[in-house]
Amino acid sequence: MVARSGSRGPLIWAGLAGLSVGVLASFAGGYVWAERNAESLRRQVENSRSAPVATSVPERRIVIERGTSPVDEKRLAAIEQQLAELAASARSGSTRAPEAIQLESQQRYEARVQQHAAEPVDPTWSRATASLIEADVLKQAGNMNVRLGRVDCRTTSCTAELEWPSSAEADREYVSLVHYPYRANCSRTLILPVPSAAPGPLRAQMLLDCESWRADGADPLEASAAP
Amino acid sequence: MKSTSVVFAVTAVVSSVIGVAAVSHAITDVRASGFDCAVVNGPQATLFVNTGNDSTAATLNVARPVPDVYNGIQGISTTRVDSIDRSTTASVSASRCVNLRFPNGAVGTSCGPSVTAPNNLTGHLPLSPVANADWLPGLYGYLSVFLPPRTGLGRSTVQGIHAF
Repeated sequence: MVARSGSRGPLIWAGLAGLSVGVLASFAGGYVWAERNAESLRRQVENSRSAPVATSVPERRIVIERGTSPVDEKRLAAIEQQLAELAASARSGSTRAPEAIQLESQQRYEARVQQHAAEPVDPTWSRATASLIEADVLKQAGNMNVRLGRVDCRTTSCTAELEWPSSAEADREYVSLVHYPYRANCSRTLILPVPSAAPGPLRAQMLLDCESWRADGADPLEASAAP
Repeated sequence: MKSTSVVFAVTAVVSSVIGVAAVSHAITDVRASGFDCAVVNGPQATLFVNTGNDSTAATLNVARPVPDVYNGIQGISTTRVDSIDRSTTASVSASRCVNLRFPNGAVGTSCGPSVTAPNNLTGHLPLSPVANADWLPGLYGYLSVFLPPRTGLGRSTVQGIHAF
C-alpha cells in the first residue's frame, strides 16, 4: 500500500497558509473599514463646522388629493413629517448640528400631538385604556407632588394632563413618570415646558402612543405588586 | 499543485470574509456593567447596593446610557438588559428611552414600550426593550430599569447592558 499522507501534506500547508492570509486580510479589512468611517465622520464634522446650519433634507412629496377636511390636512402633514424623518434618519446623525436635531424633535412631537387631537374616539378602547393609565399614574405618583388631570384616549393614542406645584418639583419627578412600566404598554413622551419667571404651578402633558400595543392585542402588562 | 492552490484560495477567502464580518460587528457591539447605572431619583441613591435594589418597600428606577458608536444610536438595533430577578410578587422591567430637547430650551424624555416578565418568575432575566419613533440620529439613548424591592431571596439586580 502506498502511503497517502505525503500527498495530503501540501494540502494541509496550503490550508494553513490560506487561513493565515485570510486572518491577516480580515484585520486589514476591518482596519480599513474603521478608518474610512472615521475619515468620513471627520470630514462631516469639518463640513458642519464651516457650513451654515441648514437641514438639507431632500423633499419628498406624495401626490395625494387634498380633501377639504381639516382632519385630512392634519393627516397629510403627519405623513409628510414622517417622510422627512425617514430622510433624516438615513444620514449619519451624530455629526448634524444640535439645533437641527432639536428642531426636528419639536416638529415630530407637535405633529404627534396634532395627530392625537385629530383621532376619532373608539369608546370601548378609550374607556378601558384611560382607566388603566389613570390607575397606574396615581400609583406611581403616590409619593410625588404631581396631580393628575384628565386622561384622554382616542383610537391609538392618549394624553394625560399633569400638574406640579412648581417647576422644580416637575423637573425632579417627570422622568420617573415617563419611565414607569404602565399596564397600557404604550410609548410615552413628556416635554416639560420652559418655566415662566413667576413662581407657580407647571402643567405638562404626557403623550402615549399606543398604536403598536393596540395592534398586538392591547394585553395589559402584568401589574407589579410593588409601589 | 492545482488542488493545493484551490485549497489555499478557498481557505483565504472564507477566513477573510468571516474575519471582516467579525471585526466590523465587534465595533458596533458594546456592553456595560450594571455598576455604570445611575439612580433616577437622587434621594434613592443609597438604595442602589451592588447593582441591586436594597429597599424592602420601594421600587428603584435606574438608568444606563446606551454607548452608541460611529453613526449614533440608529446603528443599534438591539438592546438587552441582563438582570437577576429575586422577587415573586413583582418583576424587573426595562424600556429604551431618549432625552429630548427643543430649540426654546424645553426638555423631555421619550420611552418605548416596557418589557417585563411574569411576577412569579425569578432568576436570570434578559430583557430586550424595543425603540420607539424617537430613537433617532443625534439623540442620546439610554435604558431605564425598574428593580422590585428586596425579598427574602435577596436583591434584584441589573448585571449589565448589551447593545448591538
